[in-house]
Amino acid sequence: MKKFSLLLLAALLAVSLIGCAPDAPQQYRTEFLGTFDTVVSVIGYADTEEEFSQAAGIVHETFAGLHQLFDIYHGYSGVNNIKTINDNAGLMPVKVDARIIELLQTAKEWHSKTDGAVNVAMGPVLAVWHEYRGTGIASPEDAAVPGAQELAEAAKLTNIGKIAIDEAASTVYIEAGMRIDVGAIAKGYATQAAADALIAAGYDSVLISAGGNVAAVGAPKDGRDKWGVGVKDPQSDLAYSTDDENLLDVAYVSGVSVVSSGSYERYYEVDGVRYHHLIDPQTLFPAAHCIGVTVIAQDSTAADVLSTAAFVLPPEEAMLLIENTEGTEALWVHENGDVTLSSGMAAYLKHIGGATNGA
Amino acid sequence: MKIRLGDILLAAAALAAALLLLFVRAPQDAPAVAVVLRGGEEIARINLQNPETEEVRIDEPGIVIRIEDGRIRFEASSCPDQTCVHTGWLSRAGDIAVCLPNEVIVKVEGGETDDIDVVAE
Amino acid sequence: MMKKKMVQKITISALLVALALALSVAERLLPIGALIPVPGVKLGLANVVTMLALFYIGARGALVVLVLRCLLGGLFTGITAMIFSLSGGLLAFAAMLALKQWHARAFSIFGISIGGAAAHNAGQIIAASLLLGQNLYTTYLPILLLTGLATGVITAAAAGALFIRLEKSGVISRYFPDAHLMMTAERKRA
Repeated sequence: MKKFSLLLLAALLAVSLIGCAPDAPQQYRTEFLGTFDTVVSVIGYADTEEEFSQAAGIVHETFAGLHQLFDIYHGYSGVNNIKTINDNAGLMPVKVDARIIELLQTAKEWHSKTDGAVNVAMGPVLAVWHEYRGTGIASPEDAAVPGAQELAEAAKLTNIGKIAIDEAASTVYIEAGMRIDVGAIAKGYATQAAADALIAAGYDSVLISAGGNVAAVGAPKDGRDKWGVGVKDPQSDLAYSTDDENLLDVAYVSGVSVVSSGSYERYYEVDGVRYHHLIDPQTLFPAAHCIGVTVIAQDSTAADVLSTAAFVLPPEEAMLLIENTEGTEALWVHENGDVTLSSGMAAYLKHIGGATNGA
Repeated sequence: MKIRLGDILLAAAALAAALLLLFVRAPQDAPAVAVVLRGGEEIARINLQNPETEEVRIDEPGIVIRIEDGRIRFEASSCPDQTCVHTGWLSRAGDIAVCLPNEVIVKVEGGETDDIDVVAE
Repeated sequence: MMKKKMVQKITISALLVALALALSVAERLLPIGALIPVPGVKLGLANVVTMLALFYIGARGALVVLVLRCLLGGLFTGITAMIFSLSGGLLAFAAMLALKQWHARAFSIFGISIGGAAAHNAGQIIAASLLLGQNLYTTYLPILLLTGLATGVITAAAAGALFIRLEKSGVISRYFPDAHLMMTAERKRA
């Protein structure tokens, strides 16, 4: 009888301690500013707040480091970054960190893969637009459109082949008048670097959003098996909304990256006409094939580059590029509101494709 | 009546277990969504930060739920116990109030819109 | 013709069931829900009857009294309340049965009462959680353990006085031949 009672007591104790079972991992979120001119959000599931803080720390460290290296507007004492390369155009090769070499080489690869649609040597042309845009935003009465002549002159200095990279010496040299602008690739590259660092550190449930450039490491841990990434409606006036009503759709993803490009980002107006920042290398003017693109790719660098490429390329070429790049899907929104999808895109989408997140 | 050693140990154990549970509850961020369930079915989902409504009435049986200042509570109920009403304001993720006789549950869930984590742009 | 013992047993059991029911109704007059806003929190006076039955008429008898009390009580209060009553009562019974093994050596009726009350509350919250499909443990278990502690002590204190009277007066030894005495020392039987 005593033995039985002991057993019974033990069972009762176990039963009453049900309440002590640790809850499922919690979702934590944090954000930081100060890198890549945007806010970087880190969202993840962890058993303790500490565990999550460490992950966020890794992301922050990665972004902060690359921010300095890839900056084209500011110099940092003791650091040779891309601005340094630009400042020494036509003067001398600049010794830089291996990560800059890697970025530029990746950029060159993507230049040929996208048939020149994404070109980090477009700096001179982009600089012209940057200047006019700055004026147009600061004093709208003086807003003006760059002249074709001005742009053509600048376009002469955009040969990516002329970016001389010496891997052994870790130097980069560009000719006088040339300018490297990594805007179309840097954020994606940094996001992927952060994702890689997290994976190396053993994390498997983190979502990074660098100003909307989204990379998923693994999947959520709250019963769902996919993250929900809202696809912004380019025609919506709202700056940001997680309300289903204001989004075009929701992409359910795990382990991939999602990046959007659109005419709603960075624009200025001249006589009521919008001039955005995604310049078509053919026309040297803001691309007008569509008003928004969202790309899902395995790699965040690819997603960033391809979202720009898919936006500035004509529709057929853009579709071909996406279909021919493995593990990549895209969605285009046209001026009239029509939506075009690559063959596998619908499978990711909640409304258009009936995708679910396993909740 | 003699109090024995076992009594004290048992009482201490119960006390310890209770305190442990109270403090081990993970701290939460300010959550945003309150869910009202009736008979197991969701009848309302309210964003506490930007509530769509200030009041949820379930007329039959008579239950009134109030939302105010990012919190939610049972304001009135037709049940004899009034346990649900006495639970008071709920605001943290995991907070829950139950009206057993009427099978109505009000609970607070953490996070924003349940399945959208972030927006790509 | 039923043996006298059998008749005695049945009569006493019936009395205990009635007593437990009466106590359940009586304790509802106390608005303990206002002090401690937890669904199903009670003073647990009926547990005293279970304890009494457990010691004086044995485990089997006590179980019968418990189940009958819950089922009949369900007639007054409804199915859901009956389920909570049963789950709390059964868990309390199991706890008190187990603790009884070390009565007089390790535990007095205080300990047994506390164990019973805590188990009763735990049983109710388990039933509520399962019924509603919600995790109520983290929110309610801490306070239920504490109230179990408190009500256990209170009911033991009150019941103790009753038990002492019953045992000292000889009522128990006369009508409950197989009883384990709770408050007074066991006397060796010849």
